[in-house]
Amino acid sequence: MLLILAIAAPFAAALLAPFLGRALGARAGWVLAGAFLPGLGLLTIVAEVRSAGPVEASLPWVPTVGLELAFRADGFSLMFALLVAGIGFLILLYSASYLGRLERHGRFYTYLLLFGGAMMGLVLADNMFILFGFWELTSITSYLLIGFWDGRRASRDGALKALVITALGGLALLVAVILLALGGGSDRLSGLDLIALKESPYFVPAMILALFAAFSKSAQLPFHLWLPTAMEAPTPVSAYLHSATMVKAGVILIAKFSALLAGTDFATAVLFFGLATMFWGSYLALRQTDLKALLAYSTVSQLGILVALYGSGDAFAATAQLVNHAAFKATLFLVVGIIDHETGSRDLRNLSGLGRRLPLTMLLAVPAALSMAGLPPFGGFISKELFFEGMLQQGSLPILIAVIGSVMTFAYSVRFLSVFFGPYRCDRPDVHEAAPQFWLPIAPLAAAVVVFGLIPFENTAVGAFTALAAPSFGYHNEPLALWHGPTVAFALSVLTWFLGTALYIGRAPFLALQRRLTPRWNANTLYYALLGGLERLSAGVVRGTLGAGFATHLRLILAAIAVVGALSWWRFLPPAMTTPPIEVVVAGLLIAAGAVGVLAARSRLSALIFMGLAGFGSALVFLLLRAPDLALTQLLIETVTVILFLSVFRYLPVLTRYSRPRRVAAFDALVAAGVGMTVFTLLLAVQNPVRDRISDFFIEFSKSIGGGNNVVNVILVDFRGYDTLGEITVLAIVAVSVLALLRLRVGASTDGAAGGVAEAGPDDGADEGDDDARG
Amino acid sequence: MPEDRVAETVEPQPGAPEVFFKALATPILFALVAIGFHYFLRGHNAPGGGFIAGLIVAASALLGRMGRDLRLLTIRTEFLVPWGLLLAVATGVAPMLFGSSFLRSVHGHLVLPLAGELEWASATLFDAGVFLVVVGTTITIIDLLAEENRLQRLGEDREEEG
Repeated sequence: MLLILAIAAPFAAALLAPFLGRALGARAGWVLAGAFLPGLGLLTIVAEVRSAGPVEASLPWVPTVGLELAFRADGFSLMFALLVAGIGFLILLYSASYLGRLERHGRFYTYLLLFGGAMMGLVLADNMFILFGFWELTSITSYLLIGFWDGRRASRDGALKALVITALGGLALLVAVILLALGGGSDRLSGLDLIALKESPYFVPAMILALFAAFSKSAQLPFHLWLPTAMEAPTPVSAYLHSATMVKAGVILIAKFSALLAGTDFATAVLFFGLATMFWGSYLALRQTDLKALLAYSTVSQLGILVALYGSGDAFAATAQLVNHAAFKATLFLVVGIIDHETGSRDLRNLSGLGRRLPLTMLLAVPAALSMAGLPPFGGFISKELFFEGMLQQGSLPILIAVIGSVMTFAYSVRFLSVFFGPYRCDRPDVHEAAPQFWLPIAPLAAAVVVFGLIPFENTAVGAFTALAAPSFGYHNEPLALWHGPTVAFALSVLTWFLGTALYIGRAPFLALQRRLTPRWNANTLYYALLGGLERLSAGVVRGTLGAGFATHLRLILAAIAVVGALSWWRFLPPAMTTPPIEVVVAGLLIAAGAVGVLAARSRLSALIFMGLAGFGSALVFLLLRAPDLALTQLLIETVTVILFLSVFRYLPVLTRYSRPRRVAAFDALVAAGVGMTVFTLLLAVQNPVRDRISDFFIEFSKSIGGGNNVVNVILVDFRGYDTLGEITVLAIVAVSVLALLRLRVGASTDGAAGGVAEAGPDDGADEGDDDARG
Repeated sequence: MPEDRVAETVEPQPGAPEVFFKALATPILFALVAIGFHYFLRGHNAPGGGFIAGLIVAASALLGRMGRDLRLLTIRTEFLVPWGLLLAVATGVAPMLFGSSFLRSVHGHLVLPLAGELEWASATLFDAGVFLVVVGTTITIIDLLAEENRLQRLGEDREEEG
């Protein structure tokens, strides 16, 4: 039950946040942070999970289709859930100091808490469809948070870019999940039959789609472009969503599927995608001048490491790196938040020597940055060693990329720290240390960075974390020690430091080289080209169709129907027709006469009367076929429609007949004939159903299940109640639209764009008639 | 806005209704409403139901409109639409509160002291929602169109050759 509570609490707090935000302003964060306490309370089940295995909890949701809100805390999920809750708690505390007085606090905290709940749910979900739901929810909340300062164009653009890319991945995930459930025989991650799944034909497409989703969410090449622009979000959001938690959702997915990936070609592909991302991310991070952009590209690079490690099956090293990265990157982001807040700038070129004015901030930043650089005695050193060891086993190319990437990582880490050292330079003269409540929430994270390195033994700190995840991956926790002895990995680390220092010192020529190598095309220009193309295409479609007259619209729609009918004729011939009773034929002729009459009518009034003839003819058919309900409905609809038409008749223009070119007339006749044949085929197909008729079921159980003798009505309100609900919703929408159109018309002056509005009335009346007529 | 509408309704309409029509409109109207409710109530077992009853009542409203410029209901009919929808959804949600699924229906027999044995089905409530939506939508549209009488006759048909 604690599991459910841990997930539900942030959602519940999100409901309160608007009110607290109004009452307390930014300080609401101190109260709302409590929403993550149940999540932190998961610590109490750590022992149980370690001794007795995964803890499960589930709530029924849609029992008739077997959909359950099923959650499962195995070691890995539990570890990550603790990270989400812990960092979320600190982020909310930090936000209380970070947000200005004039921000929309309620909205910010609502989004952030919704995200927190969704992330907890995503991590702990066992049912794959639930996992997909939470996955999408994190994308949406991320969109809302990136675009939080929606007055800025860059924010809106960044938010949209993130949403487009991650939602595209989300769609892929949905299909992947369906395929996995089909192939694995269960919609639960824990219940998947891995052997059957690997042999099923769904395996390869499912894996491709799942990896697509994971790469887009975790900003792997070539989807890395959304992460740097997502940095338009407020800094607590960048720290929480775009470095510590959400961007790792894709990594989590790869980690959870690592048992499936193992031993396939996918594992190799994932390894190289990860390494390429690691290299490219750190290469780009090196040339950034905005501190936040530097960290963003660094995050891309570190996510590459995680993907490479999980992909190559080295879950132990990956998990250690994941924990370390969450700690040091969140710290660094929050430090940038303080620097930005106190100095008003994030530009590396304008800042230096800040250590004198912001000594405590520097104290927090130095271990985190050194951990990122992979220096002892911090956690990052240990996981970097593990990374090198893992890559050494993968061959010479992986280790080469790993070392080059790490050299650049070292250089940009040093570059990040350079803002604290050297002569004091800043645009704002009166810079002073931030208030305690501002830097205090960072302190636990910075402490974790130090502790992860200094106490790197099993059952403590990072060792304990990775050990917790061990049963999920079936690895045995090796003792994590700072000093492994003079191994190859250590030699490579030393090499990294030397080359990194050299790169930092020689950064000017290197930067010039980078600038010269900048390609004219990159992922971003491609994204904007695609987006622009899509916009032009849709604008073209709209321009080409919206301006067209009613006749053209009708022609297009009917032609499409005719094509479908022709295709169905081509696929299979309709079964033979049974001879209808003679009185039905007579009624049918009546309908036909009405239809022909409408075509031939010279005035609107006679057309209306002919239309009524067709309508009453169909009522007669219903009556002859012993369907009194349908006949009654049809009669009423005809009556109401005819009277409605008459009541607006005098406002309608004179019916003008347009002559059309012979070519067009021939085409129209062809379309009309095609539509007629399509409907005819459809009716014949219904006559001889492929499967058993469902009507027998309705007739048999109408009394016992629905409690009524009138089968039609029981179908409407009971068996097919959901359909009816949808239909009356449509009806209500029609009512509201007509109301809006006509009210606006009545209120407005009589000139202006009266034409379109006036025509809407009778048109909608007729639409409504069509809706009802199916009853 | 309601005041406006009342003012408009007294405006004499061109081609005033015939005197017979005028005289008979009211009794027929009430008869139609009664038939409508009858059809609604018997709907579960004989031809009828919310859709049909809604249309009958709407037709009677139309009659009232044409015959006597009579408003069938003094309430604002557009509000029937959301309430009807809400009733239908509530009927669907109610079983969920008892641990059953959305729109699951129940039915049974009820013995009343005077009326004797009565058959009931929760679907009737759902049907009542359908009835309200149909009545609300139709009468709203009819009333709005009747209001439109100030609208000038349009000069040109907007249809164009595509």
